[in-house]
Amino acid sequence: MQHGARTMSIKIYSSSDFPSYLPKLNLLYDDLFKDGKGFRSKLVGGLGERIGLDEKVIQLLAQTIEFIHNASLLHDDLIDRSVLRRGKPAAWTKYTPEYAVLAGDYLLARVMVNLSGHGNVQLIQYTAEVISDLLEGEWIQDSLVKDFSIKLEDLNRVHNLKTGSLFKWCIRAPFIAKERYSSELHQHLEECGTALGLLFQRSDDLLDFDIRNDEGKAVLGDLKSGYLNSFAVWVLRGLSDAVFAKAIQAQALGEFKAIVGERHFEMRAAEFDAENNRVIELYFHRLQELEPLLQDGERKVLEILKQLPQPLYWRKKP
Amino acid sequence: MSFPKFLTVKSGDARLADLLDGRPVVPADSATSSVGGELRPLLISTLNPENLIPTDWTFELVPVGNLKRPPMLLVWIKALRPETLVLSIAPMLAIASLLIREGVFDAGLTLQALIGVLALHAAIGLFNDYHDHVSGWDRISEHGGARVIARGWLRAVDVKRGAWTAFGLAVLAGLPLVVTRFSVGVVIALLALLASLEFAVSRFGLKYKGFHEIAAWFMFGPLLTGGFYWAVAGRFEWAALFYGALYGSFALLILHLKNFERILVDGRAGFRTWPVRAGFDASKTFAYFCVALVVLSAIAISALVDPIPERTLLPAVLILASRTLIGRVKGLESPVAGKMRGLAREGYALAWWGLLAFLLGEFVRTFESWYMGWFGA
Repeated sequence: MQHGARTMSIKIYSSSDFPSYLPKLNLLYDDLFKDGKGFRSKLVGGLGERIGLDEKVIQLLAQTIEFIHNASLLHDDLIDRSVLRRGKPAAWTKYTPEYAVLAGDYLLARVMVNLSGHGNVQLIQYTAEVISDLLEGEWIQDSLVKDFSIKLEDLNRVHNLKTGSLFKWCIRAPFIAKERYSSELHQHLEECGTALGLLFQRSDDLLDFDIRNDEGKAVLGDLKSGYLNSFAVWVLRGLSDAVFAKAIQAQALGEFKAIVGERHFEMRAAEFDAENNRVIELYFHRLQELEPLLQDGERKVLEILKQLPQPLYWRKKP
Repeated sequence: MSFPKFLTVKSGDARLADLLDGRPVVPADSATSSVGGELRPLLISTLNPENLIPTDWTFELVPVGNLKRPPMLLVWIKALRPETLVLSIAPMLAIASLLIREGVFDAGLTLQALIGVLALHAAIGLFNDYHDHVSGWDRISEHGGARVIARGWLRAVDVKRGAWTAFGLAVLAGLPLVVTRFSVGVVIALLALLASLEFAVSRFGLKYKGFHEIAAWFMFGPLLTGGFYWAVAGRFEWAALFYGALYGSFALLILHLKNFERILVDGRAGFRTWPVRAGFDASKTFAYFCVALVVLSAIAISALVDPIPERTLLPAVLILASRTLIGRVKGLESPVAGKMRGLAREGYALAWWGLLAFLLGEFVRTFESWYMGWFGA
């Protein structure tokens, strides 16, 4: 993602970050970090630059978010038994589940080592809270498999913990690193991060139904593994028990659409987009409210924040 | 759209009270005129219960004509939460039956008390909805309450007016009782007022200290049954307390289920409700315990207080009806499980089954005595 003219290249880690005497761990990380889009680190980097953070601090923040995100992927793939990550074998399949867990734990530990070395206690505390939210979300989400009576409001809560927490961190952490602790500012940033997390997750959930699926992600994977994602809940809401029971057994998208009705599916998809457009409108309203809370040198962050809903929900390249 | 869709005001803003009350918004922007009709401010909820008290309050401004709401009568019926009235009706009818059996029934006083209690019950529910809305608690949870304000079906200020009207009716109905049984009446009225303050506006914060359920047990249990009996008969009666134990247990169960439904939100908001303190599994166990209390109280009544064969219907029906609730609680594995929603509704359903079983028993008893009176033994 390109944020304005000046975009720094962020090196997420160097060989000195991990012990050289653990070659398998280094190999695992080489595999893991290669080919990642680095969306979150670029976002943190762009925001950090615009509020005038020191390059070393930006590097620390970018590394932190990528470490947390990739640790969650290591654990997530194992929990979901996903065999592919970024088109390659997932770490747990290539290096054993035990090593995948340990590598994830090690990344989270490195986050705390690096941040405590920086010394901003508020940042350490906030990061620790985000990690615990992330794990809470993962834990709860895992308990929802085969729960076909889940409600969208409850899924939103899970997604806010699991997905939203990292987006919130991306936009709050640079301000915390700058020692800007205004609760008003952070409540606005928090709500913006929540909206971004929700949009990202819902867009991801649409991929499962082959909507704006330009990346060619596997279709109906969530449903087939017994997990009702946000769009599935949206589509199935209000249908008769008989149709519902048949739809959750569908093995292919065509079959799913035939069961719920092609027209119903399209109508629900349009409603889903409209609902998320409302989320986007609310996000832009929050940005307007955020503007006066920003200091003179900080307003440039709005350039980045305004761009985010398009790629996150509509998957449009900025 | 040519009108502002959202509006954010700060906590100290003079407009906040009006917005929370749901009074119509007329934006300074003249473009609004194209909307036609008033804009209703609906408080935006948050997925971050940690920010319980916001520094800024955001509202969505919705043209009233765009709000899809049922007919106003149905909206008010929903606002009054009729399903909850069983907690007041059932104990009142049980005590009325006891008063008849003991020959101290007074139809006038009973009717006054029934109207007073039901009006107070309605007032508490409405005040509670209003309070949860204006204090921002509705922002963090969509569980509980009638949700008529959050949906924009009623303005908060209308709900408040409805609450005061119901409260006024309760006072009017209750006043003659207090005058008739002055010393005891004053004590009961004061206790009822304290309990109402807690349930209407969390005046003593018992909910967030983990004692809400006990207060509910007392209010809908011994206070209601014992107080009603005393108010009509002018004396204390142990049997009334047995009924108090039964109906208090229903309230205990329902309040617990309500708080259990909110365990995730309350836990993250830092509210130390009983389920948050006890934990998920212990809350499930406590739900079973409450059901057991209900059933055991019903058995005690049918065995000790009203030992007639038809009264055994009460525990029998409760045992059968509670199986659905127990099965549902047993299957809970996650604080956001679909089956977590509507737990309290199951509790109310059990209470309605209890009322039905009680009334059926009364019907059989009345029919029997009528039959015996006509045809002799």
